[in-house]
Amino acid sequence: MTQVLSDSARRDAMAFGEALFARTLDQAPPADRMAWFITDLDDFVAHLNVRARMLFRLCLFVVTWIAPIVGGRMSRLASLSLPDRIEALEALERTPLSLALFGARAIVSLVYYEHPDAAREIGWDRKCLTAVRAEAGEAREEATVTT
Amino acid sequence: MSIVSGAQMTGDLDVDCDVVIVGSGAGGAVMATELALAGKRVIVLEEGKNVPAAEHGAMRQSESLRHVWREGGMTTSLGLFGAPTINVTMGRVVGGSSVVTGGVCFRVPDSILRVWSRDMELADFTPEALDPYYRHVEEAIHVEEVPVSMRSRSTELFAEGAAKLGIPVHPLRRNTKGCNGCGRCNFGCPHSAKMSVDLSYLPRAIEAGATLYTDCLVDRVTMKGNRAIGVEGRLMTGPVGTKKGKLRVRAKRVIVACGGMHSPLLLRASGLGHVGSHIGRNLTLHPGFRVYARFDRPVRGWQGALQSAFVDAFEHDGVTLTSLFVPASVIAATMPYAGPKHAKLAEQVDHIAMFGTMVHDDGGGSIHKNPFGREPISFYQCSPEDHVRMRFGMRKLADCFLAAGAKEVFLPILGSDGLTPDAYRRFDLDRVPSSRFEAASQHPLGTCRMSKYAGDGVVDPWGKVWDTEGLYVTDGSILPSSLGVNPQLTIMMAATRIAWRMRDENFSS
Ligand SMILES: Cc1cc2nc3c(=O)[nH]c(=O)nc-3n(C[C@H](O)[C@H](O)[C@H](O)COP(=O)(O)OP(=O)(O)OC[C@H]3O[C@@H](n4cnc5c(N)ncnc54)[C@H](O)[C@@H]3O)c2cc1C
Ligand code: SF4
Repeated sequence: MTQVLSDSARRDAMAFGEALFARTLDQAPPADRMAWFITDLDDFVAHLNVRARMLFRLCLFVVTWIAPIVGGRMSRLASLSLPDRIEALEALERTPLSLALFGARAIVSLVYYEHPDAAREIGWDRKCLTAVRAEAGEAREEATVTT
Repeated sequence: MSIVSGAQMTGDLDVDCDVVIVGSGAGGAVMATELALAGKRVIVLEEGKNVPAAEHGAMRQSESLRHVWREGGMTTSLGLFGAPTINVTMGRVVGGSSVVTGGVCFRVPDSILRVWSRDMELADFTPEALDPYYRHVEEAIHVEEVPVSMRSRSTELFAEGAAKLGIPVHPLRRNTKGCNGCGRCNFGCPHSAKMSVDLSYLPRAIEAGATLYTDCLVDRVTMKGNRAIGVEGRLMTGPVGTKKGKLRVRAKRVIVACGGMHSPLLLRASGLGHVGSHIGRNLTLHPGFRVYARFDRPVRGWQGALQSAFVDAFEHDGVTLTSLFVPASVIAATMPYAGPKHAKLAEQVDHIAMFGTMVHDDGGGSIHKNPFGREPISFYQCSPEDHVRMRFGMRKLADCFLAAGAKEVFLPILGSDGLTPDAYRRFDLDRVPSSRFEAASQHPLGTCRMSKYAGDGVVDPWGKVWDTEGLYVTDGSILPSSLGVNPQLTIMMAATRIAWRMRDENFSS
């Protein structure tokens, strides 16, 4: 699959993802995980039609350029320090433009938390009921047909 | 006959048949099967790909959004005049949206049928008259009750709270056979346990001689005067449907079953719909809202049937409460803040339970051609009662979870943090504008609605487009009003009713 997000869009998505998913104020998530995230995000966007791509780019634009302004800084999100980026995103969330943040966050989170380490960090074991019951030694009851 | 991939074909597709069906979802698949079994030469044209069960199992959730859902699940209906902007999801795949359902099956409530049969004068729409069609579909898709043992902990907690408040919770019925509770239903069942139409209907249509062409986008119905004589479109290839060869199918009957958002588009692109026409109007969405609740102990709500229980006690207040669950990644996505504060909340996903409320909306949305692309533009408006219903449903959900001992509830308000029981009691939901609600819909309905008289709708009571010959619509768009319950069973019932009448017709006319 060829790259569909431009280099600058990838940088913006990376800056956004690092701020959103940082677990401490001084450290972004591991670089290899973020690299996986950007590659997979690119593949996600590659499968979107033009309109959905434009919608994502619009949300990312708001996050990249408007979030810093509402956070009190005239700069691109990627140029800010990690704590300033986090502050900018939280400031954006308090404005009517939070819908754009919501849209961008939904897509990047969907991809990011599917990384096994990210899933583990939030306690998402992705186990199904059968596996859990099998571990507990329970048998599955049959569904009752009612029609 | 078989499934043919339009993406793999070289050249154009140019064929004749008795019936061409556009769309292989709940409505289209039923028509294809019933008519093929009656000996008609049937062709089904589907824009999406064929994705077998093994491929569903191999995909992560977000990969399923890329390959199975329309627009990666990002379609929205823009809220007007204070209505929320609603994320409308649909399948774009062989089997249509039925592939991504939670499997929930409801018949239309009698109260709705009374409105259809009395107020809208659709005399045949009584519980007794529709029963044979419903029973036929229920058998074909194996509708069964979800056993209590299949409930997720999330649903159990809700039910515990509801019981304390004296609200009865009933088991849902779903179209499953051998479900193991893996909770992946919305991303395609990897175990072939959900009897979506790609498993329950289309194989029988194909066995009876129908041909299903995938990766085929129909652009217009070919009309000769007021008679439909076929369809035209194009074969597609690649991840976003790049144009390839042309397709032209000549048929004695043309069935449009593209779903509530796309059938009106196709009719309009075919030159139908004068000023004042109902095509693309009367959109209802059953806006849905989730409430999360955080508990002290792990919940792991993804373990168990995605949907297993419901509450109908508030039918007369215009809301149905149903169990649901979304992937942990989606829960995390809806948590507020960024950085460490966000991470702290995201780490709570395994402690989160959730339940949903679906509004039986009066609606008033519309679908319009997008001058810049294939997917329609859609607007949505609420009635004053709809605004009340949304809040009523959210409050009931929060009340039940708090009664079950939740430490915090998260209301579906953009950017809002969790509310402790005390904070929730002080919180004035009426002051939050509906436009700040996070709303989702899986049920676009009514945009080619059925009517007794030509001036009131788009199709007659047998699905035929008013003032045309040979042209029918048989999907969710023909339902006369919002149902207040999940619609797949009713769409399939309505298609069966139309197909049984059509199979006895002489197609030379
Ligand atoms: C996530 C999700 C969960 C759901 N859960 C439930 C549930 O639990 N219970 C329930 O009752 N309902 C549920 N629904 C709703 C249910 O799936 C739909 O109401 C039903 O499938 C609609 O049937 P339809 O025939 O109107 O359209 P669809 O099933 O959407 O079929 C339309 C088909 O037409 C194709 N198409 C569109 N335009 C064209 C064109 N121009 N050319 C060729 N092909 C075209 C589409 O790709 C699609 O495959 C759910 C829906 C979603 C999205
Ligand atoms: S919960 Fe049941 S129906 Fe749903 S995906 Fe798993 S096995 Fe299939």
